Amino acid sequence: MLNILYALPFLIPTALPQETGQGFDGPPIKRPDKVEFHWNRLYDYDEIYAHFDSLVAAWPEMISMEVIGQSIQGREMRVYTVNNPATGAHDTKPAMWIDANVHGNEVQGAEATLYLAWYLLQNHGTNEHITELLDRSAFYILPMVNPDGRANWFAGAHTASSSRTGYKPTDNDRDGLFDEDSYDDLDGDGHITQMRKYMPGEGTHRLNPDNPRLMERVPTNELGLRGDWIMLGSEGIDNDGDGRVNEDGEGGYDMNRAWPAMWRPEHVQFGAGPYPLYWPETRCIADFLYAHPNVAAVQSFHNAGGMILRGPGGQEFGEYERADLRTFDRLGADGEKMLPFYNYMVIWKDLYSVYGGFATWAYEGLGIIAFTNELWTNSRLYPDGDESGGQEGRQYFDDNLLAGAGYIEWHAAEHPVYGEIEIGGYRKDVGRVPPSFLIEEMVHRNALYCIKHADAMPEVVIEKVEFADLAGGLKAVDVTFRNPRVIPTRTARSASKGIGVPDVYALEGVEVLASGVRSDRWRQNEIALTERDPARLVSDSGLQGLQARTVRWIVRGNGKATVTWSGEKAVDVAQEITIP
Amino acid sequence: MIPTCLGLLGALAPAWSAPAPTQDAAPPLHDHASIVSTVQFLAGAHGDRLTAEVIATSPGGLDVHALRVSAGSEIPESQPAILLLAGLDGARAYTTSMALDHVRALLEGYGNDEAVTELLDTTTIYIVPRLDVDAAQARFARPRHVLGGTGHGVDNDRDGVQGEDPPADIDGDGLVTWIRYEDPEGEWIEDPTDPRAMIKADAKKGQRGKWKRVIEGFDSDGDERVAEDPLHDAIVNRNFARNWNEHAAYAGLYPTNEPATFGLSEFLLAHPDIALVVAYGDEHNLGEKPKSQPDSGPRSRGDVQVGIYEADMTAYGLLGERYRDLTGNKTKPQGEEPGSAQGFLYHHRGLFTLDIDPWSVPLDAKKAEPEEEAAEEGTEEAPVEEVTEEAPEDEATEVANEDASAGADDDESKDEKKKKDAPKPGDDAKRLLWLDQNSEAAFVTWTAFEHPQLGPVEIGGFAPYALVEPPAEQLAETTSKHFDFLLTLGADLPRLALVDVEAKALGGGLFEVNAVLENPSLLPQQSRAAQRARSIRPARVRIELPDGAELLGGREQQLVGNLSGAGGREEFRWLVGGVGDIAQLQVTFHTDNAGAQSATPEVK
Repeated sequence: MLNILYALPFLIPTALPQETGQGFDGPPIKRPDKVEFHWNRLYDYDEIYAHFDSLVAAWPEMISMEVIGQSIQGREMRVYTVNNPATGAHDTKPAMWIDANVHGNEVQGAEATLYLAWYLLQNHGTNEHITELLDRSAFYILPMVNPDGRANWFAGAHTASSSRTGYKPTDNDRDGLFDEDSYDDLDGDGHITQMRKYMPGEGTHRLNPDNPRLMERVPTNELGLRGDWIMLGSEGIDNDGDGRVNEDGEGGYDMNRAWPAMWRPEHVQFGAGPYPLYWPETRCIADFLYAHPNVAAVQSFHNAGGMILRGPGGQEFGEYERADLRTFDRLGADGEKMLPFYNYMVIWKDLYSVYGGFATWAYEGLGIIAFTNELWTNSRLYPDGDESGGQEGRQYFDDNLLAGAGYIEWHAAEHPVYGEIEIGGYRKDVGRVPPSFLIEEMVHRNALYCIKHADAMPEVVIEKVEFADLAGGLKAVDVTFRNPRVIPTRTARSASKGIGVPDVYALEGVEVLASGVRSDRWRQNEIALTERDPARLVSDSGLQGLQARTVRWIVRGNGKATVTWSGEKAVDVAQEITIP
Repeated sequence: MIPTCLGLLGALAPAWSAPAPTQDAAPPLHDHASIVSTVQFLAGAHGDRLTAEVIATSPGGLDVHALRVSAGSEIPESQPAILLLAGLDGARAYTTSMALDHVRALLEGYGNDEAVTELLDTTTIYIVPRLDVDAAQARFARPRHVLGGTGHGVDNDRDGVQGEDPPADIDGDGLVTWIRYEDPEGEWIEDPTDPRAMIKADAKKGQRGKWKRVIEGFDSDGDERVAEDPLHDAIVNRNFARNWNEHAAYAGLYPTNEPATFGLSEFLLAHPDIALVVAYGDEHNLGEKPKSQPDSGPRSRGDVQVGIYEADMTAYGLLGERYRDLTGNKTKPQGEEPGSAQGFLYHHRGLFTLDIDPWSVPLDAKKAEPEEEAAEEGTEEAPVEEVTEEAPEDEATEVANEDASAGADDDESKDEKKKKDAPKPGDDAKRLLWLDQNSEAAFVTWTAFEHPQLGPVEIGGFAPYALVEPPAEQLAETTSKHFDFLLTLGADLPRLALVDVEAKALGGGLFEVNAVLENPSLLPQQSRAAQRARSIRPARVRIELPDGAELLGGREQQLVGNLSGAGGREEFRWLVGGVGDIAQLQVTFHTDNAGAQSATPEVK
């Protein structure tokens, strides 16, 4: 049985097999996977690459790996390319770039990229839609932009929000010492939680009378009543004696502020580093993208909050080109339909200013329609997404749907300055990542959203060729080129900034006297004439999504000729014609 | 703005011959080989007082060097350093000669000259003699041309082909100069005071443009534009991270994609001992009234504002005055260019950066002979006299009244009026006045030429380098005056010191410890730019307790953000208990570039 399965990719069927024992395209009566993963877990750095490698082993023609650089701590930066070479090399096709985990704690994006690769490979050859997609486009997947951050988040004591940074020692408090005052895992449990101290009658907090596991602040009152507890912040000690606790931990920067569009220095944009692409993880990615101008779609996975984000990152930019906004809005609307409780948002306006962000650079610098998804929203924990229960609601969920596993109960510990304290709180893998049983839903929906985005990548089809007789024995050759996809062959941004190489519409094999783009199908004189070299029409403005463009060549002669379209972000097309 | 009057050329077609021998160039200019041999020679002669490292390799395969001159191989920790940057642009290749001569003078002067010895005993000097090594090679090439872009090239004319239409020496005179041709859309007219010079037509004065002007070259791709698509576009000194101009061809692919830009940026990070920068280039902030900006910076977080912060203007003003006194350089202030090293150094690294354009063609040359002047006035007089004779009565009355109020006789007031109405020479015409007397080869006469694509044109204009490079006779003097200025700067650098470090015994092993950290120098420990950028580490003050002692007041470690210049002070007080031996207690401070010190308190 398995032998037949290996032959399947080469027998792209018109009628798809009903029960072949391979592939998983949705129906609950599940057929066995060729490669099986558990989707109810998160995977450490080594495991992520090992899983991708098992995909390479199972589908060696369809997925390949290259190392494009190294992290600060020497971990590999890998790009996995998914493509069907039988229908063309990856760089002859529009490609989608997907990455994840630039913030070390924002881990579940790597699982989402793994799911995407696995899903495409599992379904190629058995599912018509996926087969067609993978035949006409390619995917460049980099699962961990910050492998050091991820590895340290797993291995070290962290909160849900720490280990966001890379791991180049950085002097955050500017005292000449590097990374000298990090969190301290006082109870050695691998999680950084909260400290409190019992000080009867002298505290700022009290236990919630209905739920003694919850702390609440004592409101100011005329009776001067005090609580019995003081809160002491996250587990930590003032390691360098400067009066501040945990102010200079490992690393201390933000690699998603390093990208070269509207980049601002550290004092304007925290974490940006001394100049753009300062950290090796970022520079190797930029170099890869500059070297692959066929990338026509970008997705970069973060957590959390349930957002589908696009730029601009700063108000000063102004607004994006209107034609491109239509494309963004369309895909953003799809995202809201496919990802429950996610919102399509503009970064500076609906979130906060981010200077030097990756997705904004991918659009503003490279002219690519790019999104950043913030994976997972806690709305998903509750019926109807109702988060109004607050602390109590969270506790209810943890107690009843996780059997209390997400919460570390308050327990005694010793602190060198504060003496006897208690430590407790939620685990680092609660809050920003889904609970185990909801991981698969999250990765599936987001992988299919990537597929939706990839589906939108440009395509050029020669729709119609017409001939007409002109005075003087000349002929008109009218060729209609159509882009049936949503994303243009060149975005308005690329056109206005001269990014990359312009598209070329050419007619070879006959003497061409004049040419131009027709703007009126009835009036032939309504034409934007090409200024020189009329056989070869060079166009900075792309072929818009879901639109057609008719080019007229005025020729002398007849017989065989070849009309071509070539450009960076769609498969080049050529057609032989016979001029009567 | 990019100095279009100097031209931006891409690397030219392979038809170039090998670089001319240096004797052809006005001595003592250095091509790259000469830099290497000079450095080797000096290093050989002066041992470990001179070290060199390669900080980048250019696209053309040439190394960019950073030199270090010091009193010896062991450099005291936290000793401040001055960085001298030269050769920032291709047009000012001569500044490398200045920098290398400064190196020689420092090395030869150590132990012999008091000022040099004092400087090197207290300060490290880093020198990058030429940052843009590829561009400067054009200075020695045939034909002679000025090179701006040497890096990443773009398809400037968007025809799908890159670099097909660079500048070229089309009349074979060995120089890439300028083309002018008559065109109804032309913006330029001849300067009425000197037809060789061109000025923009001013519609308000009723002037109508006559000429178009473009760099010498062909229209190789037939798009009716000449030399618009050179092979290289990115300019090293426009590729830095500060105020980088996205999508400008000259700015490069991304900040620091150009190796020299990356190399210098990394060098700066690796040398936090640098406390001051002197940069020889196309920016100039030591002229009178350089551009400033308010201390609060731009209104909007993402905006970028150009100019020196108000708080730093005092220091720049004083240093500028001293500079002008010592060098006599009257160059007007030239502001910050997008993506320049100078802007990056000041605004991002927070370093006081003295931008110096060491030489420019004087604008105040006088005409050579007074007799000629009188004769010219005579000729000018005649038409005006005719006008007044024909003038109607009331005008004549007005003129008479003016005369009366001026208290001058008729002839003199007519002269004044003539002078007022006479066209004033534009800057280029003023420069020609000087160049005619000092550097004849500086201007190539406009000569008719049949351009293969444009038809009848004229080729000529300022020769490459004429407007920025001093004549050979002046280079030595310029160099020595700038060296004198450099020697004064060591004393201005902040050099912090602990003073009044005292301990008072309060009984029972309890001590009150006091100390003062002081900055006696002109410059504050941090410029306003450094305070905003948080790029220079504050001084770290610590108290080191003896075994068994405990801190009962004050912090173990404190950071001092900024000590102002000329006597800024910060006081510290601690209360320490359980002190067995007070001599084991230390107060220390540490900086990257303003000194470091440990002191035991004096018991009072």
